[in-house]
Amino acid sequence: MQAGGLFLKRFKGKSGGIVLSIAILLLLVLVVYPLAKILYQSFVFDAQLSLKNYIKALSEKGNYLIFLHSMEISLFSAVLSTLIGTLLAWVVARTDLPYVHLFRTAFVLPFVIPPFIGALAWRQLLGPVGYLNKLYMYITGATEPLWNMYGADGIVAVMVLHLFPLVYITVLGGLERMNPELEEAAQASGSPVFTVMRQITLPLMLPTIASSAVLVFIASIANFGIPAILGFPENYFVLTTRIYEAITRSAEPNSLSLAASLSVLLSLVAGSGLLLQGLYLKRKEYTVLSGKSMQPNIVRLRQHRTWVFLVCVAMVLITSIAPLVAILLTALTRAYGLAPVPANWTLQNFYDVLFINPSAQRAIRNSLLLALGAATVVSLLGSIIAYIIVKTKLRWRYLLDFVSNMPYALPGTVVAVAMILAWLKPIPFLDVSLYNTVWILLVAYIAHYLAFGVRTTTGSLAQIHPSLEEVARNSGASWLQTFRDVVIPLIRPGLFAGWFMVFMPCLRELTISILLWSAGNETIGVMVFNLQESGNTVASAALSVTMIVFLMAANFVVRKATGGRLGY
Amino acid sequence: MAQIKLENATKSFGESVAVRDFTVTVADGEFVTFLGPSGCGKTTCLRMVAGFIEPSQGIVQIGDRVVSDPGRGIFIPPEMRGVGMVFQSYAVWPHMKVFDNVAYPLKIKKVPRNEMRARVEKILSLTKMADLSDRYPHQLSGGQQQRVALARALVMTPEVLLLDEPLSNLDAKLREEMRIELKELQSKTGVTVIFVTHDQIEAMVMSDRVVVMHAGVIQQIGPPSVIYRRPANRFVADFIGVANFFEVERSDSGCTLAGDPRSVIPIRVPDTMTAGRTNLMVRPEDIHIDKVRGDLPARIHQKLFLGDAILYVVDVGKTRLRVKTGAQENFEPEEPVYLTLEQAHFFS
Repeated sequence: MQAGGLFLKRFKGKSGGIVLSIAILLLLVLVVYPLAKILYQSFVFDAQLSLKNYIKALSEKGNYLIFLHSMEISLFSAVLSTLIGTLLAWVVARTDLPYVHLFRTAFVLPFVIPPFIGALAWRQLLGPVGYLNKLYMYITGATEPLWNMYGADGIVAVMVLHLFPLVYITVLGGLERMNPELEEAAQASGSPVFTVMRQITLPLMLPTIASSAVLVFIASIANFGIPAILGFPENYFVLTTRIYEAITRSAEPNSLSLAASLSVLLSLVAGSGLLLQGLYLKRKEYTVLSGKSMQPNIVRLRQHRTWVFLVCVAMVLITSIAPLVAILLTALTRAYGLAPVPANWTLQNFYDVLFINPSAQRAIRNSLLLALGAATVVSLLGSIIAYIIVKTKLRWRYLLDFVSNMPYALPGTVVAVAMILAWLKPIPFLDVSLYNTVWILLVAYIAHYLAFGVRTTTGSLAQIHPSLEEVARNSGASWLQTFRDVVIPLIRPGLFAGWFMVFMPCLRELTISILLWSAGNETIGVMVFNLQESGNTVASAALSVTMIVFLMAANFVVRKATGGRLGY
Repeated sequence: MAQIKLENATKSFGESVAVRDFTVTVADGEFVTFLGPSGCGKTTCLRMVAGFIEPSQGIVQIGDRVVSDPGRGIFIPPEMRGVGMVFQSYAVWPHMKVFDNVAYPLKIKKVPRNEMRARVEKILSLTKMADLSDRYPHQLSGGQQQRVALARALVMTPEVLLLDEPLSNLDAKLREEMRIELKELQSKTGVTVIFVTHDQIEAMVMSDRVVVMHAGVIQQIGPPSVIYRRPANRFVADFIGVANFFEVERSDSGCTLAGDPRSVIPIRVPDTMTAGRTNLMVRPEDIHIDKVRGDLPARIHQKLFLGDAILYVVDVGKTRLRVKTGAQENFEPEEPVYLTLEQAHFFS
């Protein structure tokens, strides 16, 4: 550290040394300390170091079963999402589907709806007393619902509906950038079109497809909202919801330690998935890009055109329109359980939630401030860390890169538990505890999304030639002034992209917030979830609709402001 | 080995016409080049023969089969045309070894294994890739990848071979070697070749006939020597080789430089040219420089040594010409000289 500090000082001048040292210090405090704490805690049982937590986690039937649940949900979600996402990407990229431009964006829509709100919406459609089930029972006179969405099958279904766009976007990008001459060469060699797809396109796309399948697996195993909303009613638990239970509801001793050990296990699974993706699959992705923009090879659907078109329309209806309509209807209904017909419609729920209920207003304000704060801090801190990684020759700069990326690789639940363990007790000397304040949320958001700030800036920084800074230093500017006057303006697009990429997820966040909130420090997501869990379905729905409208508006504004470069 | 015929082929993309009334017959076993600047439509024509583009109008025929005729609703897809094609990016499949890349067309036709192996090995030795058959494309250089693409196109013993700017990604020396090799391959196999390029030297060196194109329209078709010596219009004259242009006016004894009635060029302007001003084109090697005798007084501006020749940049009044002489003719910059034109072309 000594040598590093001196090196920084010599290289970048006094102001540079101070700023860079502060950044590294922040990184240690925000990331390294909490993660170290959670690792340590997982080995503590009855105030002694022991492996008991892990033994309990892996052998006790209750815990062991939960581990299996997480795996099965994630595996099924990954496989189904990959199938659907790949097929849809192929249809959009390689066929003459009518209105293909509309479908291209329509298939991405599920991304704009936060997953837990989707779960709420589907619960209202296909829960045991959901609209569709009630309709079915009314029409057919059955006493059992058509499909009860609670439990593993519903969880997988909603996961797939929300995560297939991940595969869709990745595979679509790959297909569109692929050199069409690779397929044409096969045709010229005598291969009919579907054989070309099978023998040429598919094998070349396989690493990309597998890569996005792994990403879906990781997103699925880290998700809290969907298994919470659709799993609690049936006592079906997964790792994230079990950890939540251990922290918030359990009065057992050692429950915090159990939560820590479960978190470590969760991280190992997610981490090995990422390792697989980063090391193995990324390397195998063939460079199949073309230099010129060429016309892609189009398959004519001919007699299949109609039914494929109808299937695509159905997909859009099911994945995007149905849940939005459901939640809107519920928000407009006077009381849950009444038929959602215009006779029962009212705007009272919106009025209550936005203007009367003080905690809802507070939640909205909290979310906005937290998102703004986190995004801004991440942008600045991220750019400084990226600067160290790209522009200095410090030997441990790649370690910095790894450390700042880690909290994003870890599931949100793990980050939250780490924050609790780190900040539960008051900070020495200051005698103030972050726990139960809004600040612990801010710290958690910053740690979890720091990677975005670092990664988006790294790319922009790499393009700035060192001579641009050297000239400024030559003219007498200190490192800090150079950073402010030369570097920041040049990386502004990257900064903005990073800011947006943190702002939006923070706004709609639930997984971390649900473990760190306290009375008066709710976020919108927590409010929606709590309202639902306490039975106030219509208020929850009204707040959800407000949230979605706001997210869509924010997305639209950013798209306009950046000329379509950022946003969905 | 077959004849290729394009008759009035036209291709429009919406409002813009990429190729207009393209009519060419490539004889059996002939090597024809479609030559022109970027965007002239040469690749579009090639792809109409291959079947990746359907003409808006016109007929494409390979051998005695009509493969495209929108008027009669005929369109045979590329996989059924039996033409070999080498793409500009080579399009060698990265997930297959060299052997499997080349064997692919035979695999599709379900050729029995032994025969397949024999044919692949034969074509690999013909393209000098025999000991690399077990490699993957990313382990090969650009030139080697190109040979794989060539071998793959030829393994089916096609009647027709189409090449889309195959040499443009290679360095100069390799390009020269490949030109000779391609010609050898063609004479050995007797395949009919259509070659697309923007490099006029390549076109001249390799072709039996050249089709010069500009903005979707054929400018001239003919053997390289004819294209060079008797260009049909100003574009062809300018695109092929080096050309000097200046404006002249008709006079009794031939013509004079525009604006300088005292300069006399004793070459008759053909009657087909309009009265008044015409453009005269003369190749650098058709101008003779002499210290004392000649038609046009001039002054040497620059002397560039080319090894086996010398290129002089010469000023005639306000016009700057390029003149090529043998290495032994010695003039110095600023020296006053006289120029004689040995041969000239006129364009309106």
